[in-house]
Amino acid sequence: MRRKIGLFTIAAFITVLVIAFNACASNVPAEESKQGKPDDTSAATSHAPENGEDAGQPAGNSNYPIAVTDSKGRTIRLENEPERIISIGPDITEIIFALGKGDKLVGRSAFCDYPPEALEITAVGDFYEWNLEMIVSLEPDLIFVSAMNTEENEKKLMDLGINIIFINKTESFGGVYETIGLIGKVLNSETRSEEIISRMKNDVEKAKKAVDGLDRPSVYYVVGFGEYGDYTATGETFIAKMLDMAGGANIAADITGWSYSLEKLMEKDPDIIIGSEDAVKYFREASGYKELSAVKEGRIYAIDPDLLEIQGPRLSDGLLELVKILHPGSLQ
Amino acid sequence: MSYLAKRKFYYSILLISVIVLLLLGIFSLFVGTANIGFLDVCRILASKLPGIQKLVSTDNIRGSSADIIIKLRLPRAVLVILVGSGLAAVGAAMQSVFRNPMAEPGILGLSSGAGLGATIAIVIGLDKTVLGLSAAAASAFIGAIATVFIVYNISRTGHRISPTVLILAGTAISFMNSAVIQLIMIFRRDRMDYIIMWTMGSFSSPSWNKIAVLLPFLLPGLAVILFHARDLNIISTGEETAKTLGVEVERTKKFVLASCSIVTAACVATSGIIGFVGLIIPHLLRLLVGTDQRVLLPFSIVGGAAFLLVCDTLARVAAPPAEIPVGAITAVFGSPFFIALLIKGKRSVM
Repeated sequence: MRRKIGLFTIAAFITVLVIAFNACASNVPAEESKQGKPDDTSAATSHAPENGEDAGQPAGNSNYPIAVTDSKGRTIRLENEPERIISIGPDITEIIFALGKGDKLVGRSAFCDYPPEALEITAVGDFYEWNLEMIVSLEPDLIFVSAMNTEENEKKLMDLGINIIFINKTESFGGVYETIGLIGKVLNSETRSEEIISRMKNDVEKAKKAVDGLDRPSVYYVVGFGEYGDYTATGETFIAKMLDMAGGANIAADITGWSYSLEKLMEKDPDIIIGSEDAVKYFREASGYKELSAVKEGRIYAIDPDLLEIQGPRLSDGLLELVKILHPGSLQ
Repeated sequence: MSYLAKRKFYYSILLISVIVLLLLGIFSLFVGTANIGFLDVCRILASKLPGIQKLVSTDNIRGSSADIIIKLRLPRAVLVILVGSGLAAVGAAMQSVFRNPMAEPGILGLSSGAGLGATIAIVIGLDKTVLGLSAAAASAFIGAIATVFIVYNISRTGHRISPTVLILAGTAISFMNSAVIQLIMIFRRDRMDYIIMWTMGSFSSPSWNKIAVLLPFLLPGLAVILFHARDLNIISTGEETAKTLGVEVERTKKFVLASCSIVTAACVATSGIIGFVGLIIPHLLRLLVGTDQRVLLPFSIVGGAAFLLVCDTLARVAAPPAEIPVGAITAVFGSPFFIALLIKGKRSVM
């Protein structure tokens, strides 16, 4: 008898699964058709121009085909100007928008939230998981990747014949200029990229000049805090370099590996502390942290960490912000 | 009623289950984040079938749609089915070898060993691919097998292995492996995200290559386990009884555990650590079809595959563009169902 009940349960189990499955499935296309519509139209049109592109492109404007070398040392050959681009990495999305090519973006990572227009672009996954199916269905002709990724995803996309350009994190402004220059070249907007680079160079010069010869206050930049462990921009990092350029004496300049500790922080008791809004709030309330003289005396400042951590055109703004915090008034 | 008398009946149920599994597999090809029409999917599939491919035109279907079906959804479904069947069968066999309801594929330290192997490869920054698999996957396989080897040798006295010592040693090594992974993550914060990403099992990057690597481990492994089903029945009544009944207990245990380890290591290496399937599915099916391994093992293979396939499909389509970790889905959907069965089973026993 029990056996029979068991078999009935199997049958019920299977039926439930099938029904549940169907229910889910019937929801999905409905949901998709909302999102999918704009894609569909663009996809329908994309095929025709793809064939006609060679003919349609005015001969004078054509720098293509071009070959570029990416951060992994791979050479990528592009026959035509990329028209459907996916950017996986906030820095690249910012650069593409700054170059005025935001309209060519058909996909982005979930972390690409600047400029605000970027949010209107389809997200194809976060750093950890890429939705390969979505990426393929957007039919990109080029993918920029600066975020972390798995070799498997990489290999898979290459197997599918999609061009990928990898951009590594860099450790200097020079590296950022190179990245902007590279993307400018690929997207046929080299003049614009040169403008951006020279603006950034100007800002960097301005910052250097402003802090030249001034006293260097000791500074601590908060990357992580509290129960997740204390992390800071240790000596080898790009942010540490920027703190130095902005005329600060980073208390973690002599160590490497991002890791720090509250004890050490209390021992060094820096003049100035800089961190995100959340970090500042936490430092003001948490025991230990609120005993630091910079916190007690109100020399803890909030900065948008994206300005320092996203290696795009806003990086020089970040540097100027640091100068304003470390040496108020010096920029006039 | 005896097994023999019931055999035909079970076979027919099993056959139905296999058909349902195949239908689920085909169904999973039709759903996904990319919006591909029902007929287009049919035509793409038909165009790949020898014989009728000339009759089907795929002219006005986007090229990317065919790629999505053939290179992403199809290998994914196959991979999920293979891993699900492997993990569930291993779980069923291990629970019977150890006579312990908490036994699961990772119990001998396999999952943590795989995790440690992958972590080391990620931190060293190995960039090579081995047999089409990433270095992390290959290193995970080696880590898993090495861990089992150590655990086995700790637990061995002469030719005998004590299941209790085996489980304890496995647990201890698991904790140690996890601790080492955590230490590495603290010292290499820049690599932490990769490591976490690896340990969260996922099928998001399927390929025929992975399947080709998995199969030579999975099929012989499952065959050996199935072959020992009758002996496992007797062992699960007690090792002493089994010996008096003429079962070569130590030999059976060795063969079954070795097969289990290889199957699990291959599964974990190709898709990361996926919990729940190997622990709960065998129990669930035991409540449904009874404890006879000759019945339970085949049903576990089909049931594990079907369950994981359903979960993975949900993981793919539930929250686009993000993919929900499949482990979360298996637990969220499986646990309540299992608890309900437990309560029901408890009543009927009382």
